[in-house]
Amino acid sequence: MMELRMEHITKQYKDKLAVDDVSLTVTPGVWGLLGANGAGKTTLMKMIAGIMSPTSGKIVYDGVPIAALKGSYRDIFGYLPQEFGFYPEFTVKDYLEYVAVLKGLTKTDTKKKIAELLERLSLEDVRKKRIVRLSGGMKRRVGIAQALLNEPEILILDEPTSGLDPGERVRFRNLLSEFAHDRIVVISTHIVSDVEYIAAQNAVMKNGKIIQTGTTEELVKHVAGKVWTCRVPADETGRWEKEVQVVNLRNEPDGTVALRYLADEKMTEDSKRVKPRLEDLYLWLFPQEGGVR
Amino acid sequence: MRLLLLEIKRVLLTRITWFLLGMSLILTAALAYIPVTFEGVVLDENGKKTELTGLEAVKHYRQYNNTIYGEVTAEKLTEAIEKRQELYREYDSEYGENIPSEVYYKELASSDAYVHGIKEVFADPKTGIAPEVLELDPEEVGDYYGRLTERLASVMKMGQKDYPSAEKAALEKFEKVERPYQYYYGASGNSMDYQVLLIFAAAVFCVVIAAPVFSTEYQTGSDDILRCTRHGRARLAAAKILSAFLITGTAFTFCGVLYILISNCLFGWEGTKTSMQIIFSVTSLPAYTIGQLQWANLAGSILIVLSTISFTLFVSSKAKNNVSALAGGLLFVILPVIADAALPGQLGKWVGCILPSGGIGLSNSLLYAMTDFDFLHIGQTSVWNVDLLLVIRAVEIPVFVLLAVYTYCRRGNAGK
Repeated sequence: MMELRMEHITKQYKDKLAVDDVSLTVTPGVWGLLGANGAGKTTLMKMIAGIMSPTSGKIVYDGVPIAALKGSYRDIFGYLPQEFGFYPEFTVKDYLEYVAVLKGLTKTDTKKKIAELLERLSLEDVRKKRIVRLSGGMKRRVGIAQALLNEPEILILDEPTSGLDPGERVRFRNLLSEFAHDRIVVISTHIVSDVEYIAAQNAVMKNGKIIQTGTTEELVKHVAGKVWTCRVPADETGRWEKEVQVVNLRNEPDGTVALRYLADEKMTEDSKRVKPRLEDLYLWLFPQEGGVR
Repeated sequence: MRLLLLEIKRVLLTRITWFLLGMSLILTAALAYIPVTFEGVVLDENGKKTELTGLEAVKHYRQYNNTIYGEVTAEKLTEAIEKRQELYREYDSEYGENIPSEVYYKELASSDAYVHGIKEVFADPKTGIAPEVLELDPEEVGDYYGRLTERLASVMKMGQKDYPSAEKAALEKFEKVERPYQYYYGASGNSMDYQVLLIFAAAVFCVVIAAPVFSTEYQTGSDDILRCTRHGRARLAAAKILSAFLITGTAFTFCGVLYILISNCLFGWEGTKTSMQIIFSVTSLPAYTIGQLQWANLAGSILIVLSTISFTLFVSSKAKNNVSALAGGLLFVILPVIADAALPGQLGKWVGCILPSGGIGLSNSLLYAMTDFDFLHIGQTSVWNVDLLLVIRAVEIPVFVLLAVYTYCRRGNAGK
């Protein structure tokens, strides 16, 4: 089975250890790489993409280091970086043609593939528009389209849904689920809902290290029994936020607030234990960075 | 090939490229025309003075069949001096200041270029000071061609007395210059100066077009995507470099050719047959006519501009953003001029010669180097500045191209 293996990857910048001895084997399916901003996800993604070299360690694809595979690795690779950069003078079609040529697609394949992706990503109407004039969501969709042009075996998406509206997110998730069959798809994100329903496996990154890996079900076991809901008077929510990690709060018509919180023990008599979600785990692991969602 | 075409299309899609290409064309036409406006003549038609300027003056000169044009024989030179001395005496004028303009234009103007050369030939070999017209002996002027070698030797001794090898090399070069010289109306020193100005301006435009080629990718972050693709490293870098060369090289050549065509059409093609020694120094080393000098200057400048572009692309591949790339590129366009002015003697000339844009500055242009007598010395071996300048440029082009490709491919310490 196809696999991408990271072996003791470390990236040391002048004054910061961005990735610290990461070892991880990624297999076909959608992988969620979760972590707060600054956790080292983007640096790790860049090293997987081969545009940044690790200070130590190596990345191996099907037993061969990617540095040795050179062009043949890039041939089966698709990448959408966190900041989607493009030439401002390009229209959507010009840009996709340019990337298609760089990816080595023939003229016929280029035409066919671009038409297909424009349709699937609802970009047909703007194909002759300059990318710079598109909305954030549309730009992101163009970014996703370029990554899919060569039908990559390995697809790396760094914060792919930023700027997408809820409907676009759902469509994007469905597209990826369909696409991920027999392929490796890694989605780096701090938006848990992006990967909660489609990731077969997750890896959680903190301070440059992978601190948890597993399926969503396996991971949420770490917070099993620690997720509670209760109702409190509206004027007490401030106190609660100081005392426990609040995952969610919702104003109810009767003037109370429904709380979802994380704690080892219940904080009120009427608190009910509920089934944990990936988001709960995320906030458990990143209490400082998390905040109310 | 598809990649190259798309890259050319990408660069041509930018507004700044079109703006600069448009500006280059306007500037070319303007600079080719301006020297015409310096032309003038005052005519005396039955006591009525008429002043013609610009194209009208040029038209007058082109139609006026003056026997002075053609082969510059010793007899014509002697006659020109005799006539000038006669008029100077008639109008009691030491430097020609009292001669009425209509007389000057009718009798003397066309032989100005001769007199300038004659004075240079008979300049004091020790001080280099040229005699006044009235101090010249017309009989001696007949020996004009016989004195040229002696004059060149004295020039070389004055400038580079410690290097007899330079004098020897200069004399060997000058030996190939065809004599007697030729002189026709239309050979304009002003036009040659404006060609230098055009070359400098066009080179600056080319640098502005080439500077963002790599840096704009870094600035926009688009290189992260492109370098993850099959051909996104060395092949993309090569396509970018080639497209920059094609666009800037074609634009520069087109402007240069257009300038020569416009200028020669305005002044008349006859002038291109004039020996460059008539317009510049009488002992100029290249065996060129003005027409050949125009083309040689353009051809050499194309090489220098390509070297400048290759260096700018290297800077662009190193820079983090467009501003740094542009600043770096433009700095190196003017650096040879600064080096030549700020550094003493040979050091300044060597630095000016080695820098990738050496030869396109206003004061250190290739044209002025071709009309000058500067030799650079390695031990006791002397090499003419122009030869060295062009050889170094030709070597620098592939060096900076390879460095740009290497830098682009290695960005982020990525393997190739």
